[in-house]
Amino acid sequence: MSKAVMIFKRFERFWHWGQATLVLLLMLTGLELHGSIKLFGFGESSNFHHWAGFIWSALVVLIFTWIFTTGEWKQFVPNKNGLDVVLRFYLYGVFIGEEHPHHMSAENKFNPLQRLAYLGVLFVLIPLQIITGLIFFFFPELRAAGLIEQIGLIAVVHTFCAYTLIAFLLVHLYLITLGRKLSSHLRAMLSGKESDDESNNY
Amino acid sequence: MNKSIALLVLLINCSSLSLASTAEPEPSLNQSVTSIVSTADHSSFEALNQEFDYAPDVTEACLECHTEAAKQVHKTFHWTWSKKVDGIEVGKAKNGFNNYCVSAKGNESCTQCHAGYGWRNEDFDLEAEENVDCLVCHDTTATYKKSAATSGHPYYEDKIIGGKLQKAVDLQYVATHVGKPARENCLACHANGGGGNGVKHGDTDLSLIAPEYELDVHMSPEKLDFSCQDCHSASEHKISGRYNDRKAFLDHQLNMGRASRQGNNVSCESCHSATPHNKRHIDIHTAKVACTSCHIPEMARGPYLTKLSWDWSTAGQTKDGKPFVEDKIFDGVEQHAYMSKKGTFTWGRNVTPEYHWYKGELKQMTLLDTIDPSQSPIDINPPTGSYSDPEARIWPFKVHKGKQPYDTELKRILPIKLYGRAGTGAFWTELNWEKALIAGAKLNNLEFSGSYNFIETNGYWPIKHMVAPANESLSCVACHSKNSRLNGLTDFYLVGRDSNRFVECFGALAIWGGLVGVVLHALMRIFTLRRRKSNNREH
Repeated sequence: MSKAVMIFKRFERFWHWGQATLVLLLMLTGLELHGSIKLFGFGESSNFHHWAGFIWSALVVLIFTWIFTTGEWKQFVPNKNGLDVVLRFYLYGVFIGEEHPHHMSAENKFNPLQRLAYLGVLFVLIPLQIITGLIFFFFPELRAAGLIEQIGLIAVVHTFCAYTLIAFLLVHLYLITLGRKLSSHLRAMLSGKESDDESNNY
Repeated sequence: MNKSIALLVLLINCSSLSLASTAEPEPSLNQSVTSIVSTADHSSFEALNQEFDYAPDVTEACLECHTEAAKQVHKTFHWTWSKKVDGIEVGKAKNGFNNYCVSAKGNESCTQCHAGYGWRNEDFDLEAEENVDCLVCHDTTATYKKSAATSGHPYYEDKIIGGKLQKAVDLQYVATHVGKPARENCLACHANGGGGNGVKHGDTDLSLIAPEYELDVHMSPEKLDFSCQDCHSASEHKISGRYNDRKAFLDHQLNMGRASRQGNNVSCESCHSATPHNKRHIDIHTAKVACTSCHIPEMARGPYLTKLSWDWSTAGQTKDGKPFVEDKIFDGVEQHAYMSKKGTFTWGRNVTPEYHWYKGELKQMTLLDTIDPSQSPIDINPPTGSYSDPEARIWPFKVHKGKQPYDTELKRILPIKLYGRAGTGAFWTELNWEKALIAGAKLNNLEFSGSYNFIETNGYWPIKHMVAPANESLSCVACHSKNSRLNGLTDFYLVGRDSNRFVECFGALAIWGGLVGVVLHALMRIFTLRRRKSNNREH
């Protein structure tokens, strides 16, 4: 009988899935606003995008508050040691049935590659996306105040971040299938628990 | 008790009102026109109750009481057709030209619209008070018509013009039935400018006399029933609107009410304010987009066509030695496609406008300006402004495409003598370009080298009438899409239309590359897993 370990705390799971929903909606509506797809209609997409954007902004403030007050920020400190081992696993080891080199625990959730990726996404990409989004939304007011004249550069950065986030999401979704079983990681993000013998982080 | 009496009074009032309305007689052709407007019954005035055989005599009678009226009219653009802009006199009557009959001088049929009598040549007295035509604006009988042949005088005798009987005017009847100008008075000239109904503007034609609600929400008798003056407010005969020396509106004073505009300016914001939607996502547009851009989705939205192009270079052809006219169907309406006297035309209805930055003023080119023929088409009255100009906003325009004669040596647009007797050089009589251009230049006191050709010209007409109901205004994607209506305006980033090539390439690479990588990785996993499984079975 294996021992279940609580890896993802309740609030952590809440913000993960909340963010997942919002980001998915933002991506779809954003692509429609950008003229790439047709979905709700431009007006509705604009409306959804703005609401979802503001809720996401608020959620991200909560996330950062949580991360910094609980000391969870330590999970994101880059750890260069072992990066090559993880990369070797994804590019080779996984095909010959090797075990994942990283052992997951509540204190050390992420493998070195995850640490880097999540640091970039959560601490750079998402804040940049939200800040450019807010400037975008308040552009008429900012222009009237004489603070900014053109929105082109902000728009380009916002689009760049959006594409990066979409690419990240694709890889992120694929990597959850790399648990011991296909559904292991998904189950962990739902229940918060990984059973001890499954806690090798694939 | 008091309340019930009040109610009773109210009820009686209402019923008497409804009675009055049902008792109103059916309008008929012979219906007498009331002569009582404002506080005066003009039919009771002795000065007007006499036989007139000459229209300026009526003006003299008017001026007996309205002593300042002619002096006021003399100061207005309606009268001078000329304004000093940057030191140069411009306007219909001076140096100005357009894409239609080019210049007014040398073209007496143009002066039929001038609010004065007998402007046929240089000798016209702009100072004479009796030359002011009061009746053309103040006639309420619809029997007063100006004749093309007599430079602004009405028909004094019955005449057949173009197969139609033009009845002689009864000046006494008209003079005793004057009143406030109605739409018919304004539109007689403003809808027919350029040679016929709807020719010039694209948003001003005779359908505005009684438009359906769908055609014009302000002027339709079904709802608001605005007169022209409700927006084009006037004082001392000075009517608000765009003239050569003044703007139609002051854009940096968006919320100014109509009263504080001193009769100089007229704009939607005068009544609606600059942010009338109470929805932020729409109201934020108004700093850069004019109301008209969304609320007038097409031009010539009524039953009539508007002229979109006029090519003078083909004029003068004959069939069996005779001038001819060819008609075609344009958007379901038959119109002239070719006239020997005028050249080749195209027309349109429900036409998508062009969009340009505009501050309420147009830069009018004159007959004295040098043109660069290599820069054809020449913008003869372009709107100015750009994204970074806080006074400019995006406006819908009818851009009328012209092709008109110019002096290839002196590089100037050439006026044409169009109207006149044989021997005067008039093009419409002789169909001879050389003679008509020599005569036209002479009439306008311009040099002419003798060599000419034709050049393409653009005439700009801001669209501001025929406001559609709100639910028919433009949808977001009309502008926020790849084939945006604003594709001609490239000096700003427009969501849904614009993107950065490098970011798009990066995005495609990151997303499709990521997808391909993931799929390959997954396939590889499946493949190696199967091989390992079969290996295990063999062992």
